[in-house]
Amino acid sequence: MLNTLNTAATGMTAQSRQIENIANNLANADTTAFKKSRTDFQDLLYHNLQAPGAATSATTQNPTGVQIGVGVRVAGNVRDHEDGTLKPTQRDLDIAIEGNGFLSIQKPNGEIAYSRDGSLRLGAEGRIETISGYPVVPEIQVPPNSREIHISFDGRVSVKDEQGAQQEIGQIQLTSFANPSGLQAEGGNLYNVSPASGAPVPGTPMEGGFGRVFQGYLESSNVNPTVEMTDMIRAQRMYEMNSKVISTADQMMNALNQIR
Amino acid sequence: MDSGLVTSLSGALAQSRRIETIANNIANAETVGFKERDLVFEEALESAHQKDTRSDVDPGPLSKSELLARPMRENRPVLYGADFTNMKEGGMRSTGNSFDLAIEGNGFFEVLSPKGIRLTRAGNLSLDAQGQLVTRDGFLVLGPKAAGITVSTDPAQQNGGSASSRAIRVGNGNFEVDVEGNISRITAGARENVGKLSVVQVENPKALKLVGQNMFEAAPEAFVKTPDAPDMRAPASVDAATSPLPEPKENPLGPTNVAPRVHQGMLEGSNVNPVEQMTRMIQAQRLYDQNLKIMQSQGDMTSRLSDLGKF
Repeated sequence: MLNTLNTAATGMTAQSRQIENIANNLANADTTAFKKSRTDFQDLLYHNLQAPGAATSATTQNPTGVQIGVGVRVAGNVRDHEDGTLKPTQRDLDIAIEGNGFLSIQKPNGEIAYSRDGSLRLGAEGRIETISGYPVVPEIQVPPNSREIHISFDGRVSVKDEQGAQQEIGQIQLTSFANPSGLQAEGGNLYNVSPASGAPVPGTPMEGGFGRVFQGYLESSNVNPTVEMTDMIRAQRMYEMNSKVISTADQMMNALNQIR
Repeated sequence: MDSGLVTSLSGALAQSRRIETIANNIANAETVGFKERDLVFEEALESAHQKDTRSDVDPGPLSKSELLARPMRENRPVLYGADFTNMKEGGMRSTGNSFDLAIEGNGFFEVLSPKGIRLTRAGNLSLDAQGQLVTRDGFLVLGPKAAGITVSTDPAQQNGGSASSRAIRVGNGNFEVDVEGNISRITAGARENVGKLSVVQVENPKALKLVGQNMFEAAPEAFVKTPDAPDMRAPASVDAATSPLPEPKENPLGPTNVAPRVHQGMLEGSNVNPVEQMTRMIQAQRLYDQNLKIMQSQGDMTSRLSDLGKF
């Protein structure tokens, strides 16, 4: 019965982890380029009271054995890097990446982080920066007195100078990873390289499997609130069911204590 | 009187084991590809009473009529005879994630765990840093054996040897999996075949041992059928009359002569039916209570018996 209590407790813990994850997905349903994650569960090791195939006599064996499970654990929170829908904003410096690729961003400590949040700004010195003021790598400097920033599908950035002549000032580079779900989320819409993500592979938009850059659009989150709400209801009910198991085990132990 | 106590005790213990199994089913009701389990009880016919009357030669299992012909025994404790995994397919759920694969019909993915090749139906896959398909634990998902290569059944050999060469490298970018498990990678509109998932079939699912982490270990009597070794029960190798396990009449996984289908963007949920589990739990609890009640009345009777002496 003590095993039962532990097993049901693992179930409750797992379901509350799922609720935490759903809460985060829903909280970020409107965050630019947010990627939802999902909680995956796994059964724990089994307690083998009788291994399958154990001998029941000299000539026969137990075809199935007796294995008692001891519960569940959270195997991982896997981020789903499916593209979010593109939302038009009409801003020159809003870009969305359709398809594979991340922008490289230099953090204040000099390290490079990766992001799909393309809500860019012009810094004080005309440098293209993220909303937090971190420069995009490679750095793109917009000359003073230029008008109409244009970003092409393949990431070339050009401006019109005072005379109205088109001038190319830089190129947006993208980076891809063998396993984007393995990137470590840092918060602030930034991701860091991890051993599970694989090494960053730099490239140019629209080349070698990289996505296109859309100017005037932002990528919305890929959270589907309907799915999250139904998952939440399910998780809550499963939580309750596990707590019912605990109270049953409790009642059984109570009955045992009453016996004498 | 004592034997009656033992009988009720064994009943109570059996029911508490049952509750443990139910607790595990409910805890795993949301686990991908989880199969519910149930305990089946049997009477302990082979109790001590019978053993002393028997000769040294084991006559082997008795037929039902032979068992019925035996005199009734007063002492019949319950043993947990076996638990079995209900191999019924779980509900399919669409996730839209291309790394989620579900198998329809009798089929398992082959996974290379540190202890050797294991089977799983949990298709929530991912990529490792080298771009190879792996499970949630980072175990390689395997493709079919190359023709002519025999993989040793020794786990150490499987690990170091040819098994890891069966990994499927998907790499960067989008990929598609067709119903037969062929994986093609799509880069810039071009389609390139990068491998195939090995989906094996199991003729006797009862001989699958649960090892946790959504995986099964196949005993030889599970009769794993791989595409390159279509029939493990070839008439030449196994004599139908002496085969230790008869062909199961109904394979809960589905017939092995129907090719399994792989669906991308779907996951197989657990097949736990919470309503059924809750009902079973109530039933087990009541039976437990009743066994305790009987123990209690036996105790009362014993104490009354000892009171008799006081007159």
